[in-house]
Amino acid sequence: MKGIVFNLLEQLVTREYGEDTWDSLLESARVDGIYTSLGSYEDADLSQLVDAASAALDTPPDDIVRWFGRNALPMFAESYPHLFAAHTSARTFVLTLNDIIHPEVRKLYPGADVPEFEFESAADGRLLMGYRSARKMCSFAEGLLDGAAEHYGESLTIEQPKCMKRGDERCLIELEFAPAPAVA
Amino acid sequence: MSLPEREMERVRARLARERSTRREAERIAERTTSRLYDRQRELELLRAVATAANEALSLEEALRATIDGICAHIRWPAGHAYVATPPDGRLVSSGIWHLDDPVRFEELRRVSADWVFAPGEGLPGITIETGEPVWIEDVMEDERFSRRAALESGTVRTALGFPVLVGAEAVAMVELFTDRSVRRDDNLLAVVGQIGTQLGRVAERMRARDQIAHQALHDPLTGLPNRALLLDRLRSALARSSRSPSLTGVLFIDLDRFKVVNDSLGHAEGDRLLVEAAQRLDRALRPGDTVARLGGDEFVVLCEELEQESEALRLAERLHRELLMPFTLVGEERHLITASIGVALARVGEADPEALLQNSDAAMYRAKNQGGGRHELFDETMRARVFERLRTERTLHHAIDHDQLRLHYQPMVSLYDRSRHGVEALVRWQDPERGLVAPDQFIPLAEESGLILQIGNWVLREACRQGARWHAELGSAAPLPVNVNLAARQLAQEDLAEMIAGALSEAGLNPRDLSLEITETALLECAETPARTLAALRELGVQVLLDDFGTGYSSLSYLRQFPVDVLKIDRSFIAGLGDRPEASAIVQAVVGMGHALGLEVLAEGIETEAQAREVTRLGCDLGQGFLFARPAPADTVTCDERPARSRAG
Repeated sequence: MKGIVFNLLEQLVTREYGEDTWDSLLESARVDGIYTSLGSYEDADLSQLVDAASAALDTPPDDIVRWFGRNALPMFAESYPHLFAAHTSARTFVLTLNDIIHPEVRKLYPGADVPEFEFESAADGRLLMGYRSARKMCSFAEGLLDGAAEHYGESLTIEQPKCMKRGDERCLIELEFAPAPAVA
Repeated sequence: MSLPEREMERVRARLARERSTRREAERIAERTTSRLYDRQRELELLRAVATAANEALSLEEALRATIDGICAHIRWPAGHAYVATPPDGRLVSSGIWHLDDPVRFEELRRVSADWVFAPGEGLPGITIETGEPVWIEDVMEDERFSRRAALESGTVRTALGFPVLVGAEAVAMVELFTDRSVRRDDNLLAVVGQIGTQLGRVAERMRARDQIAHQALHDPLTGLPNRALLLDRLRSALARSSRSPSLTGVLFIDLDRFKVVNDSLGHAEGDRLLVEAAQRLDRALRPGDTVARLGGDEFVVLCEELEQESEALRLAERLHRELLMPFTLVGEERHLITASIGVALARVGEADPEALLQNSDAAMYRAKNQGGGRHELFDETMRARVFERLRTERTLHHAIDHDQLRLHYQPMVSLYDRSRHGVEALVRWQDPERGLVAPDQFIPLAEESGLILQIGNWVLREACRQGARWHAELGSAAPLPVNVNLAARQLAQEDLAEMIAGALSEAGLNPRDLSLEITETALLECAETPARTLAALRELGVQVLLDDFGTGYSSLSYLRQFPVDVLKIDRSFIAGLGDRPEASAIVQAVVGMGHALGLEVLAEGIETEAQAREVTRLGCDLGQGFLFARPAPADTVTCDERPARSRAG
């Protein structure tokens, strides 16, 4: 896992909950907390931090990861505005993940092990997104997708009928973007 | 603010500064890594293209590999190449495409295939005209992309084109498309520019290769196929005709008196004439026929799928007519050129291209011998004659290998006292079937086929051996020197003097006991070597006789140029003595000239006492002929009771 991910998490936690909280998380996760953006670190570090947060907040780890993804997206948008500016909708933006965004990530962070998605448009207009990764971070993807929809002022309904964590061969995320935010 | 609080404040500020510093450092590192990454990928692409270009066997192959490589590298879904076509460099689709999704880009492919671009027109033409890569961010909005008018679906957005140049000349251009809108990328433009340069080198290499291949198979003067290509096509034609009832014909064309043009007007004019003759022959052909130049003024036409013999003859007539139109050479001078044409048709099952070519050559010679300006068909009579010649050649070969050659010797005498003055060695062929064969029956053939070299070599060695034998047996009474005739081909051998020296020392014969007879014609035929060779022979101590004097050009300049010791007046003049007053006058003139140059003069073919008296009166020094002795085997020559002239004087 690239250090940039830990940096983003640190920024987010510090911003939302203060420096002390981050320090406490590092302590309870028993990780040393030295992360530089270009370095590579154990995947386990991230899950330990997530687990620590999950315990502290009494929230399922997936929700923590989803929250992280959703809030990481605006930070990406701030750092790499040109990747977002070329699009007017979340759907076209999401469709450039494999061809543009992830290649850019690999450029910036050599050795970054970003996933390749399988995209398919369903007959009813929904976007089907297949995901396969040993890290099983589908909730992070969901959070980022939520964030993307929000970035373009859209609402998004996500369903995940298949998940590797439930023993499926791959995760299948079904996305339904809507132009205006649905009122809950 | 209390002291600890201020301390804390400063520590926090320091920490924040540290964090910012780290972020800044990381951002710099990220940017550098990113640039390095880009650069590395570019290098990988360039290397991949270079490898593909080096391995490619054609420009098309290199273009295909390059387009595939770039599309994969920059993740663009479509790529295509246009190639420049002569004469005006218009660009037409090469048919080489890279398409991630052929169905989606079918319209682009169709429109591009139909479109032809002049230089300066559309993306391809602009790329070629500027010689630089071109970037079009939105093809549907940019008037430089003229195909947009024909594209309805809008499957492409951004396009990139780059030229492939050899020097300043455009040979192709590559265009790449994506369905996304991509902003101009100067790095990428620079990289594809370099790729274009590499492809240009491939094109240059292919041209050089094609040119070499072309040169190997074509005559550089006329651009026509050469002998090798002709034989190759002839071989294929014969193979094809074996499966069909049609005939394959070969027309052997030799311009008449071409040498005269060359000699009188110079080689440049001669070459111009050949080039024009080549064009005329080419014009007269049917589509699919081949005209080749074998060298000199010899051309060969190969025609396939002839229905009948008369078709080939009609073609020969057409060729005559084309050539007969006057050629305008130097200035306004107009020259009429005729040709001798030999026609040969392949018989069913005949598969040897060389043989067919030889047959047409034989027919051409017949046409030439009958005065030229005509054609002859190689027929059964000629076939029989060629066959007979080949047979004789084979048996002669056999004769050399099986010791069937003999030497007879005819003495020469001093006309003052009729004393013997050496002998001339004359070759005979002891054929088990035909008996003793005279030289005029096989020497001309041997000269044509080159067997003369082997025969001449044998004669030389045998004559030297016999001379040495005589010397050992008879001492000063030996009939020496022994004269050996040299043919033109022998005279042309660079190492002739060394060979003769070898034959002498091998036999143990004194060089002054060997003389060599050379005809005027032989001297004329080899322009280069004789003077040098003759000088070397004299150095060796061997005498040289000029044979058949009076039948050739008998030019005084030859006598000055070539060092000889004896002139042999041709037998035709001797035979005329008494009947024709001018014969005496000629003999007298030759004697006077020879003596003035310090040469001895020999009269050949003396058959009567009257002739002997006349040539003696006219001043000849030596004589040879049936009156004195007929040619005879070595053992009978020495039976002659007349004593040898003292050789000391």
